[in-house]
Amino acid sequence: MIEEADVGEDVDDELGATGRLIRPYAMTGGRTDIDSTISLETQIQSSARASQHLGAYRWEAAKVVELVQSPMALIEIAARLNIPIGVARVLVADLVADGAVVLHVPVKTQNFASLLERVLDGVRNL
Amino acid sequence: MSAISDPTPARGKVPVKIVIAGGFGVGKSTFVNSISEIEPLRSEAQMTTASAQLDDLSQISTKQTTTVAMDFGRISLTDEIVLYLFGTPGQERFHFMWNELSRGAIGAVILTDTRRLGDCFAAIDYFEARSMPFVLALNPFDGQRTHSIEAVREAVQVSEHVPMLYCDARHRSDVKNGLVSLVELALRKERTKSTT
Repeated sequence: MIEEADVGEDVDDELGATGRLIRPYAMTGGRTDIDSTISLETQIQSSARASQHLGAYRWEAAKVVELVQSPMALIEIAARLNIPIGVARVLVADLVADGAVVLHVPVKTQNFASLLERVLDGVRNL
Repeated sequence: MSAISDPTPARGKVPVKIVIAGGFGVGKSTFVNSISEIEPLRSEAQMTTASAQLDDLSQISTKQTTTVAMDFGRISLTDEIVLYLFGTPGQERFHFMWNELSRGAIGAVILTDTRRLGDCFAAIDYFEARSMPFVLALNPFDGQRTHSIEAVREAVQVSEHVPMLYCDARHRSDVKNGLVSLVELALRKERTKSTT
């Protein structure tokens, strides 16, 4: 029985909810294409329109939407859902396309030095 | 829903990141654990087949990919800035991960075990080649400061401009000092850049 699960047959969703019984990239339909605008630390948050889509999503996409009620970094989404970063990136890119989540793309700071000053203050106060 | 009771602002913070590099078992996870505001998390990335060909996977004949785990932590620095710490595998074969990790990073804290100095060379080479700020943090295992900072500097042949400090990865204050040292260096470099 165990060997069978290992062969990599597409397992149905109800098994997926319990963990890594499906091949990770099965969640993305086998796609591994990378949207390079979503970096590991990019902050992702569900949008006001998220609830319209929720019913139509498979568990993993729905789980992402649920997780990011408050902004969360891509890498944290991957870790909390126990999926590889590449899979999380594809899921998020799809959700962005649907308008279910938004990326917080920080305004390109004119002055990196002033950002570093604020970081330094913050780190000193830890 | 109250704005007062909700610790997380609705708007996303500006994310900044620092790479924690160093050889296997040097204390990277401990370092992150000492200062992260969340229980450090482990995330996985899979090497692509292209990368895998460069790697020695001869022992694993049936697999086309291998998985790299990295630990990370988060620190909310201010209302608008959140700092991520990425503890990353130090071996050269994981450089494909480093490229992604170091893009836009403030710099790196390279943790060093003075009993195994050679383990940090790959990280030093990497960040030197990219002119990225880095500091060397000597993790004194067994509480032994058996090597002076200057002896280590001589041994690893880094410029006198590279800050070096003792840093017991288990101690929050040491970890904080390592981060302060790196950000100070990054700021000095940035200011020099903008005035020349």
